[in-house]
Amino acid sequence: MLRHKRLLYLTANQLTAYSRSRGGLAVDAAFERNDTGLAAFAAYAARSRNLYYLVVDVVEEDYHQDTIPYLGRKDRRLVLARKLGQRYRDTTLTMSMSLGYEKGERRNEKVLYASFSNTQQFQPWLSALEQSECRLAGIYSTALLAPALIKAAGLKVSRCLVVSVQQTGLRQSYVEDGKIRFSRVGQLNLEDAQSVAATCAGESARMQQYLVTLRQLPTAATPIDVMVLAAAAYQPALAEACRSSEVLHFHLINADDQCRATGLKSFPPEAPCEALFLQAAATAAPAEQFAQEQQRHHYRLWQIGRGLLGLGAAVLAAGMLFSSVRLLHAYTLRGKIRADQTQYRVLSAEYARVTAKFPATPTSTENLKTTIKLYRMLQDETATPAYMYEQISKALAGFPRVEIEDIDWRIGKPPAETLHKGAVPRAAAAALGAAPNADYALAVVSARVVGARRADLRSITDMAEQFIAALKKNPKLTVMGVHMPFAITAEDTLSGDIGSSRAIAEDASFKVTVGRRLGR
Amino acid sequence: MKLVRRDLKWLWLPIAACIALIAAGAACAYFANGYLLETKGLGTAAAAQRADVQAKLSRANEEEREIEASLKQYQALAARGVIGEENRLDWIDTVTAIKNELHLYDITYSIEPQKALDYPGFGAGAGVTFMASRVKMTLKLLHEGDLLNFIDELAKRGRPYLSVRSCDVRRESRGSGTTLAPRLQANCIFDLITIKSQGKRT
Repeated sequence: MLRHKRLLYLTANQLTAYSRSRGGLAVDAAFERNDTGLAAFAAYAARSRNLYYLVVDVVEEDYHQDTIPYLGRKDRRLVLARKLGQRYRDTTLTMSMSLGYEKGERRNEKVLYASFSNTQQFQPWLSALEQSECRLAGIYSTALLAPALIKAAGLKVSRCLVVSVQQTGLRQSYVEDGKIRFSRVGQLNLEDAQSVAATCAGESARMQQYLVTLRQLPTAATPIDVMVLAAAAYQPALAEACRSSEVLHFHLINADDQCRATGLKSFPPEAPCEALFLQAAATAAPAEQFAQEQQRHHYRLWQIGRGLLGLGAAVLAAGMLFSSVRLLHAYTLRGKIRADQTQYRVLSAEYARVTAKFPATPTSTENLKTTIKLYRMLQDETATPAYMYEQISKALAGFPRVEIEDIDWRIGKPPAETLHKGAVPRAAAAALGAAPNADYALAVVSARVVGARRADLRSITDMAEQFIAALKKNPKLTVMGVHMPFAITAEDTLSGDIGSSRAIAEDASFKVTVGRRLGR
Repeated sequence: MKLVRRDLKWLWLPIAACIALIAAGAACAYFANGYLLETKGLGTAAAAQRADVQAKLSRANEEEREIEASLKQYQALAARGVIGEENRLDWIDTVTAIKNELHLYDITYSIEPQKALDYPGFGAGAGVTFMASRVKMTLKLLHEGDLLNFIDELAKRGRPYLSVRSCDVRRESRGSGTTLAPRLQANCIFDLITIKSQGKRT
């Protein structure tokens, strides 16, 4: 990813373009601030639409602290925009940064406003980037990157003054609680190491006093840590000049070593501090920066594109993960299927071996079984009248005056119309209800009482009832319907002729339907 | 940030790529899921197949005994003539012989065309069909014992299986006890059942 980034270092006089390659930081080109340089830069930008990080190292910058009321997001944005507009005539390159909240009831927010005072010097460079539709990720001052350098150096201090020896001079950036508070640039004679060291020590002490004046430090005795960042050539002199005191605790950082520690295998030897700032911009750029939204438009488009690709990749990854899980499950199942199939083949062979010993049959085994099964069912569901005749005959033995006229025997279901109203015993009804579809051997027995007098209804009825009762004694038989000689119930009509000359009743016949359930 | 139409030239490729990636992910998931479902189906079938043959193997001895028992019965039915074609002339000869042996009176009959047996549970199977010819018969009887003896003999000696469906025995006359004349008339319906088996020998 880093190799797609272009790092631009802008000073008052020139812009130097760097790129990352093979873990090193190399100068692509340097452009003077004149028409030729600007044209060359426009051509350079047009060649490459990579991400651009612009690090600005100029004198004209301003930092100012203020407080605003505790506000909602929308109101806060409006207030900050108004405050920036009030403070700076040109808000093209301004920014605001939250420094936390005061510990009072009102919880006012501490805010740092920052701006480059002379924005005109940036415009030609920014216009060239805009015209080439380059993706400008952000514009950073070296001061804004100072907290990243402290972190990269491994210093864990709350108040730190970063003093860096650069081509443009001596940059001093005061950082408190990981946030930039103030920064300025002083002149420096880079040729004289002793002078550089002395300036570092002296300016650090003056800066401490100035911070007290600005009320950045609570008291004059408040100690601060000073991180002195300089090339290896200045280290002996710095070690001599920068002696820690009660208020200044010096930490001398060899910029060349620090470059290597941060992963830069190669870097411009004359500008190790600049290389560190560029490296910080490329790898640990802070969220706050100076470019406005319209200047970052193509960067935002690039972010949207990346977001879309990320979304697609995430869905693809989720789909592939889901697929992998399903396929793994399927693979496991396939193994089980193969095992089942192997077992099936073995068992089938074994079954074939066993069945080969079975006796030869004239038809298929299945037909053989079906034939016998149905034949047995047929036997169960068929009968002859013999049993019924025998039972009727037994019942008749005790009734010499009852004479059979007709026995209508058949296989079937008891027809409802043969049942005399109210004459079916409860047990018979229950038996029929329990097996309504079962086949029965049914016999409708028509008989009559011989020798009875017409007037003697009671005698005839009793005789018939006794005969029926005799049939009922057999538990295998069910009396399903009875038609008595005379209707003697209160619901029917009963007629007679007492004293008639017809002494013998010729119509003293009755019918009884008897059934035996077939099957098992 | 506001997007304008000309920004699309920077976004169409990521949009297309995003759609393609999403489609690829969805396709992967779809086909993998389909493959798994298909595999599950195959797995269920394979397991059922294995369980089936395993069960058949464990029942093999029992099945062998069952086949032996069924075979004996089958052979007996085939020897008697229940299995095979119906032979009406043989059957009429049998009726005639029984009538003569039992000294029965006149017997009239009519045999309907043969058709598949329509008793409950006897639908046409794959290889076995029970066929039935309905016979309506009228017999003059001296007493009901003649009918029972006739049916008994016919069931024993007739080649088809005899299924008695109905017999209506009615008193015809009350003659004096000395004259030998038919006193009863029986109207019976029989089914002559034969079995057609179409399976191959094993």
